[in-house]
Amino acid sequence: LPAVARLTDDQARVLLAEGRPGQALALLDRLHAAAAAQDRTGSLIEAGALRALALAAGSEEAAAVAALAGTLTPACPQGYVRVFADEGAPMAALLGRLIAVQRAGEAAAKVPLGCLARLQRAFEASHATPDPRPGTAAAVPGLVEALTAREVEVLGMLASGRSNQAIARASLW
Amino acid sequence: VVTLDTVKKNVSHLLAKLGAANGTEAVARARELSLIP
Repeated sequence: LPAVARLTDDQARVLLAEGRPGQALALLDRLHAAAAAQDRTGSLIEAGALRALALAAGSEEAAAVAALAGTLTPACPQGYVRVFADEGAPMAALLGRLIAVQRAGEAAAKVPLGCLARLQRAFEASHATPDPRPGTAAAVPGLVEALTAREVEVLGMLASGRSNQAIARASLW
Repeated sequence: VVTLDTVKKNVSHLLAKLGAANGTEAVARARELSLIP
């Protein structure tokens, strides 16, 4: 990757981390267009992956899923998988949404299932922390790591609108 | 009864695993994934 592209990608990551997806998106749009014009596949795919994350961070759900699908389609046959897996939890969540949309048959462009499966395996490999209680955890495609039984319990209480304080009082672990 | 810190720790772990920014987002994601009803 040329040094300039690397710098801009990192700037986009910083903007995303700072909660400024709009600015990250503007930067990535330019980077994406430049990479496309110059036929730089690697830069194009990396910018595409980050663009999808920026859209997701900006709550543009459908556009984020479409952007990820659009980037995966050329990326997979060329073996670009790490680029996605390295983005961690937000990318895993977005991948989960893409899989859900495709399963529901609502996706405009279909990413081959083999490609999605390879990506999921890459995520599993990069987050190979064993769960302390594997028997109790729910393995769900699209999750970075299975939730523990306790986390599911807390989630249930969050869903019923309890505060952290109320959860602490109600819990017996 | 557990300490508030323990709850917060669990919440932050599950937010990370779900790729959620806050509780509301985590609940929405978990429902999407059918982890909770």
